[in-house]
Amino acid sequence: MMNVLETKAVVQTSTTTNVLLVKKLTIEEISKIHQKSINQDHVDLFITVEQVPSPEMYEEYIKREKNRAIGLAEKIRITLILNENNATLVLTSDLTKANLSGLLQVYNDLLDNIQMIELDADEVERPAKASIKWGVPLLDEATQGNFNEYNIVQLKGQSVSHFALQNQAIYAALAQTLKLYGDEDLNVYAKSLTMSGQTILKGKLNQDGTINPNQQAIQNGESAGYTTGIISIDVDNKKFDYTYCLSPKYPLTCVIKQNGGVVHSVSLQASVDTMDSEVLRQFGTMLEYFLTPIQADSDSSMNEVINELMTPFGRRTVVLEQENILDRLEKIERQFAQNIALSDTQGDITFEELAQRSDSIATHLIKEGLKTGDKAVISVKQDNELVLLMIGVIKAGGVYIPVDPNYPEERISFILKDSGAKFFISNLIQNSQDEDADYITIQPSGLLQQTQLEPHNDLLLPAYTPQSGYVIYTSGTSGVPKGVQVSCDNIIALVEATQEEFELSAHDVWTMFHSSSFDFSVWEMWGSLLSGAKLVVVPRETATSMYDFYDLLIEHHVTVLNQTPSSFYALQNIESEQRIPRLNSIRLIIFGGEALDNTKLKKWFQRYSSSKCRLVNMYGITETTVHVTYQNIFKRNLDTSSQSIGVPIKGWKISVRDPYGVPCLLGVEGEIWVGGAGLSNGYINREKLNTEKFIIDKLSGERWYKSGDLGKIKSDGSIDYLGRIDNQVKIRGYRIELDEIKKHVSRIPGVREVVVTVQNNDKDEHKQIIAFFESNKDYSSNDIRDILMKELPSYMIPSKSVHVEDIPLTINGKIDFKKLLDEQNEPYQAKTAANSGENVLLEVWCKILGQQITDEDNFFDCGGNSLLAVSLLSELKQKVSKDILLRDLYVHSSPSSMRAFLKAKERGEVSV
Amino acid sequence: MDRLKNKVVLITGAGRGIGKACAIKAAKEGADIIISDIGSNIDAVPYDLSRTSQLDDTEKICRKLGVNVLKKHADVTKIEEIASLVQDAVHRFGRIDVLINNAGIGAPAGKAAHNYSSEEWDILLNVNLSGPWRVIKFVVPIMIKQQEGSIINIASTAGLLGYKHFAGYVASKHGLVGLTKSAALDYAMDNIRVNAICPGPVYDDEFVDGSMTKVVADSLGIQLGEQEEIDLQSVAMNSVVSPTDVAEAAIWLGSDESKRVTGTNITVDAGYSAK
Repeated sequence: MMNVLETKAVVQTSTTTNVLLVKKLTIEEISKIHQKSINQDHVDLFITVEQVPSPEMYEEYIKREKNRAIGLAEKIRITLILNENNATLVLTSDLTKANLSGLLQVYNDLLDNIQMIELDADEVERPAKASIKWGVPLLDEATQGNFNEYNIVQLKGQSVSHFALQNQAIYAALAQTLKLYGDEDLNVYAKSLTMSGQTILKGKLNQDGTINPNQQAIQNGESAGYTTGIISIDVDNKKFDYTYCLSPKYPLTCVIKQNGGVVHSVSLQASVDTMDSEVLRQFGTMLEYFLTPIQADSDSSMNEVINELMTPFGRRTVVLEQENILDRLEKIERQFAQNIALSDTQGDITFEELAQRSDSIATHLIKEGLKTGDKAVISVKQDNELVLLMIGVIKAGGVYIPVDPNYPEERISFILKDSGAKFFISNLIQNSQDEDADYITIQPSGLLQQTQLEPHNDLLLPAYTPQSGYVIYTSGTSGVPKGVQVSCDNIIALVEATQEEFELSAHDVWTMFHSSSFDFSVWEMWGSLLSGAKLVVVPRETATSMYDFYDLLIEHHVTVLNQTPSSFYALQNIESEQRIPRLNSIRLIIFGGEALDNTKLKKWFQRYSSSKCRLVNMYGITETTVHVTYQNIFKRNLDTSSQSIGVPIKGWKISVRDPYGVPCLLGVEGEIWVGGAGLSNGYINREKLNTEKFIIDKLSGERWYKSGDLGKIKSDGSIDYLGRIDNQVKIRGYRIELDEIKKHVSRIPGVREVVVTVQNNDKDEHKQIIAFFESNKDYSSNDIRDILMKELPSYMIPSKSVHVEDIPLTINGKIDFKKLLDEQNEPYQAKTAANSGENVLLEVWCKILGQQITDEDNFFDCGGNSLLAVSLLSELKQKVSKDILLRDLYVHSSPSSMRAFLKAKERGEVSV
Repeated sequence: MDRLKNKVVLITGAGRGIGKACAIKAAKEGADIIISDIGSNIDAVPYDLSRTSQLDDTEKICRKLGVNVLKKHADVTKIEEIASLVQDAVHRFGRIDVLINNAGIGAPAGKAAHNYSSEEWDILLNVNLSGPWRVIKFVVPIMIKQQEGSIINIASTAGLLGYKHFAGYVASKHGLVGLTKSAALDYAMDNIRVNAICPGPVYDDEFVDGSMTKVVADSLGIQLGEQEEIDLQSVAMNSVVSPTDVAEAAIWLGSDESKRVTGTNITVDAGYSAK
């Protein structure tokens, strides 16, 4: 349903001037102006007379003159355009030199011989900086000047003038449209121009179209600036034609043209940096909707308009040609029988062996009583056999639940109980096993030993069932882990959706780097197996030692590497320490698990080109089967602070919705909803949560998962990721994205790591944003403020920015906010804390951990993790000894133990 | 046809020849133009320079093409005239995007270097080398403010090679090529490009009132037809260059198509200097 039959095409305008045309001059007027042009000395203005060579060119000459920027010309440019029958005077000025009444004055002065004095000019208002959140991001000022335009001359097939619109009604429609874009507290600059003068209203635009000048937002004693300009021009005379200058450029300007109080057109002009033409088209369509009087009161029909606008951006679900996982695996097992399927420190397993051994495990499990859909918790160390066990469960028609054997016993018990698992495949002994626990513990060796024999044919394996699959436990925000159950149908859909795009083939070598209880490893394992590739199963010790992992990548000629950004940054550092590039076999790197900071990939691109090795950032959620969207990263993307997570993979769908489930328009922030082939069955035993998070859309009847992530859709269908909804704070009425502040701080040269948090979160009036940063350069809080002021509105500037040696981490490796906030008044001083140079080791430990510890404290107990260990090692190599290995650190994790070890080594008591 | 749309082009020596061809070509590509020529003779120059009517003709042709034209007579040896030319151009159009430094003289010539009078030597350098420098002096501040601009100096193959009995002309054009390279470096950071075009023998195209071949023939004391024969044999492509051929190169250098080209010289000589 469209309200509008005719809208003019979107055009680019770049005018920087006020232009007044005076048409149909009299002979007397012409001769007076002509006289002055010959006698240029009489006025301090330059008068040009253009004699148009042919009558047909007349309008073209006027158009050309009207659109000419004033550039470096002084004051006002006066051009008389003449042909045999007609004359038009074109008066052009910069808005700081003359406005409409100023130009009228010049016109009158030209005829009356009065010496010109001061001309009326417009005051220059400061337009707002980045406070508009919708559309495309604002770029730097140098790109200003290009505007998209959207004209409304008809509504419902009738001329706008038919509707007898009043300015206030138009303002109200604008306010309602802006509300859809999340801008309710909006400062506008509204100017009405008439022949007799101008009135200016500045302030908050209310929903009823009134402007409340007293509520203009003030920050730090200065006006917050205006995001929207409204210009209404009523030149009540056919002789004149006035074009108002857009400068200063408001991100959005609404121009209302009237004649004697009757509105003839409403047009929107938006900086290309704020809204691209498609976003503006949607904005304009909504404005038309609100301008059309009759149906503007019904919410549901508004939703229909929005739905219609957004339909082209909902990706159609591609029906993937799906064979089931078992057929696919069997085909691979036959086709690549002699290829290596799995490899670990113990040796290699071919697809043929894999088939035999996993069949045997399945047979055994069925004999033990495993029925279709039964769950089996597998908790063994990460090696080839773990993979075989998982495949075995699937082949038996069951559901595997991988659990890291290093998890605390209580957590494993919880999972066993919560999932209702029938089997516990592990060497671990559950001491606290309840007497009434109804699972059967199976020693993995038992399952695996028998499989050394020839193939079992005595028991037929069951046919494929979509009930088979896996369960991954994720930490809930409440602290209670929740199990997400995913069907094998989803696994095969994931592989089919990506196979072509990533050219996955049997020539690839993958690593299973991530713990089996993190779903990134589901992708690593099945992505490799189902394309016939070789999967190198990385032992946990190697995965936690990046140097060893680096060597493994080279040794196995790995081609497909999956990494979380933080571990990749560490890997990249190791690579850059090498004299020559050594990771040449890698052709595809997939980032997942956390937000990627493109700017940190510079080191990689110094050595590898994206044509040889493709870098892909993937956004994913356990609840929707590992991945959702993908975005290629090229060298040219490194400097831009792109938040793009790209487009959904084949068969997956994304929609961005407001809190009421209505689709958001292009550029409007909302919650990311995921639908399509990747949707999991939901959480085990969490009925309430399932109904909250997995919902049926009223409009389409489709099932969606509400991700809790913020995003917006852009005109090209790609999605910007804007952080977690939980990470949004409201300070003094402003909705603030802490992630956005963090992004800006981390872009400051020399700044390495940034944490942005809020102090006094409980009392609104005392809330303060505080940024903590690690940096090579010594920035003061004021330096940071000065830099950010150029990019962010002042309510987003941290009240305090604290330079810290290192950002402290909790035992879980997460940022220790409490410690940061507690210590900000007495920051940790590396130099004074570890009193003398004598205890270099302790000093290094403290520096890396960012806290005071004792000589006996274990690095890993005090917040150290594998990534910090790399930093610790490189510090030790610089300051203490070049011969320390990462594995030494794992054994001698306290300063005292390391000291003893080094002394022993010096005396030759330790063989290296 | 819009390669110079929304651009403003200033052309010196636009009364005839290459300058006129450049003006017409720029107008065809949609530029607004400022055309200038001397409109009178100089005592030390042994031939008639462009008449005012010739510049009027250029103006008329360009206006018919639908572009705005500012016409002003100016002598490139007079600094105040150049200052006023540039000032009027900015008053009228607000900017200058392209400068085609075309004004130049081909004679006095026809003698060995030591036989030039002091006055003859001076006028060659004053018009052909100092002239373009004077225009640059006033146009560059405008372009720096715009952070954008393209300057095209019309030099010659005489800016690259020697010509017997043309020492003054050759020296001035070599100097212009040098000015081009240095200026390119001076203004590179301001996004102002400076390039030279080195035309070889250009025939006297009647459409643009070309006359340089006649000037050369007169200097050497031979007939025009004879000089044309010599020129034809000297070029590799067996056809001499027309003023429009040179203008084509100037349009490219003035347009954004050449946005990463600066400090170079483009020979448009039908292969003359390749031999």
